[in-house]
Amino acid sequence: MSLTPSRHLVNPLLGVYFGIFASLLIGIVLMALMLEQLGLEDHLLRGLISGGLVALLAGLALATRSNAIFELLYAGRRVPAVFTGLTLAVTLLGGTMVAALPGLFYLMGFDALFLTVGMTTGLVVFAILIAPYIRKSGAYSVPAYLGLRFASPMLRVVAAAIASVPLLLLIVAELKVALMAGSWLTELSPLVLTIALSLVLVLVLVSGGMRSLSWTSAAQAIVMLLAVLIPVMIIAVLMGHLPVPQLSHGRITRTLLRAEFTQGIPEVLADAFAFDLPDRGFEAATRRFATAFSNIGQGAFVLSILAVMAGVAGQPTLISRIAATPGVYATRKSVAWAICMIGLVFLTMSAAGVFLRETIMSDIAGLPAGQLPSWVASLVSREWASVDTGTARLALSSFAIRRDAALPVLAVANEVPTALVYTIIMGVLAAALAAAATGLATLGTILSEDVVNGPQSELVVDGVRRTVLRLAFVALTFFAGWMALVTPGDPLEFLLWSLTLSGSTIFPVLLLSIWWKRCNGWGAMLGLLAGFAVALVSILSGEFAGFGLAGPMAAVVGAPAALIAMGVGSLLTPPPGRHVLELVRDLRVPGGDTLYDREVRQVLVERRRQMGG
Amino acid sequence: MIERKERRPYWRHTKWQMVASLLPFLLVVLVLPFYADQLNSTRVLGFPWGYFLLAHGVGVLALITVASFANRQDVIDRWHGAHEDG
Repeated sequence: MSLTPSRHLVNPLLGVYFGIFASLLIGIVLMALMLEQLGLEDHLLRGLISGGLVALLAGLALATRSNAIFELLYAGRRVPAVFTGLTLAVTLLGGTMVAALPGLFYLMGFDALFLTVGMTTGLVVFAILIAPYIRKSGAYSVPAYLGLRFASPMLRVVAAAIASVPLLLLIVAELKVALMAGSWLTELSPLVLTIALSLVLVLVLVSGGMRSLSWTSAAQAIVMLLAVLIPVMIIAVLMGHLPVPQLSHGRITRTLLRAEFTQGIPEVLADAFAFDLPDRGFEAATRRFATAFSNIGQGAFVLSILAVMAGVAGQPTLISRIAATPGVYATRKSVAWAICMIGLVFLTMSAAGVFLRETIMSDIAGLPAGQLPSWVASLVSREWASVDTGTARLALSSFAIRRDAALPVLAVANEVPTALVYTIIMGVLAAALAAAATGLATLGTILSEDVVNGPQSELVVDGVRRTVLRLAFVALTFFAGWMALVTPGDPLEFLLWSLTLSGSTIFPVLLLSIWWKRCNGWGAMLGLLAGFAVALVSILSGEFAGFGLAGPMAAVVGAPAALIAMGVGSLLTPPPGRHVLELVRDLRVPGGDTLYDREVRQVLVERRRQMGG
Repeated sequence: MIERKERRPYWRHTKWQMVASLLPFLLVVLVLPFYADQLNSTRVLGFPWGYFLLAHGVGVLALITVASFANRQDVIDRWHGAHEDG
């Protein structure tokens, strides 16, 4: 077992490398725009954009290949705060959010804010209560941290089993979105597309594990940011506003609200605990944009903010990300960067929702059914929208869109060049692949380090650890690809279930493990199991029996159940020993060696002594 | 490296900083939705006020909260000698 080098040197040329990457990316998009004007065929245009993305990612993955175990597991702890911020943002949003949020804002208006507020709050809680301490522990996964903190190999295995459920849901959601975006960019059959995407993921994961994943994810975050921000900025200018859509869409909102009033769009108030989320099929906007609580009731709005918050703060993928930062201070700063980036994306998404509503209100609503603008036919042929022409005059509710296609729909409706529409889809694909790869890396690490090699994987020879880790990556990628291909369902729903499950199990246990010295391994195990059981029952009863809270809010009952179970379990069993108490005291102090490195060193010294004896 | 007798005051100081950073933010996020409807009748930069506060305000407040937390906690770490080496 080799330890991380004591001096974690951050590469001073990172900014230059990523500057080159961004220039290459912009070059590909500009070339596509020029070739489109010169009459390049549509399938070649799509090929250029999707091929360009894959080639850049593959090049980056190969350039960052590594064989050292500390690079494979936590990127040598050399990913500085800004880049960790980028990777945290893209991991948290994923393709699911990038695709769904503009549609949610278009369809639900105000009520879509539960997701943005919940995620932002989750990151704040993560930054203050969880992240710095997990980074000090030096553990690279939730089970490894819990095993170390409670000195309990059995807890490590139980935590691995429980963490794998939300992780698998997350991976399948992201792969489904990647398949959707891939099918818009290529003409490959779903099976071939799944294999192609799985091969890209395998290349990223196998070449350098967490190291190649970190740098490709940072690059994918740049792709996502550019692909979302720049087209919406261009559309803002086309609509006659400043290229700062995040702030300038206020004037459009005012016009939109006036138009909604004159066209008699109803103001509806949902029941306090109603939770009506648009699904991924065709949906039309039927309620006013700024009216609060027309799809999600006031009580459900607050509870779902809490559930999403807990889910984000306990998300295992974020924990594997912060394990790669150079230190505790960099971890705190990295979450601030992540908040900055997701905030920018959220405001852009809400602006896109407003722009789309305004476009439909001014270009379609009120027209006779036979006089549709030419771009509508293009949307209908791509199956991104459908128009109900059964009435004499069209209304806002006559135009239904696919929730996950709202951003491309906005671009087509504003008649921007097709290359920009494909760039947006490339952004969705990049975000989905980055989040799926992080999920796979986290799950692969858990499977190899905590289950196959565990519970004391540190004693296993490096070569075996490397091989098992890489085999786990390959097997899980193809398994998850197959699952995404055959599983029906809505990716957004999968993501919300994943968040609510991690919020019910991992978040409360991590919270108490840091802030309550007295809790012990038995309490943690009971907490994990109780939180999981209560959340599962709540999701099943809410989604399938129509009883109780809606599935995505399960964490508001699951997390308290876990906290109570952990408290009771800990108090009824003997208090932790001196060694564990000393570990907790050390966990709370940023200075000094990480607990993981220190424990591994001790284990190795002991082993050498035994062998010498 | 932190001295042994500094551990207790360091953790007390850290706990207060945690409460001072987190509590105001959580209060705003959990109370604001209850007033969103009334606030929406006023307009700011064209946005309904309740919508503006939850969309723009929460993001800005989150950034200020985490940035000031990172800054303050770093000062606490250094004051008690609990900071990282290098």
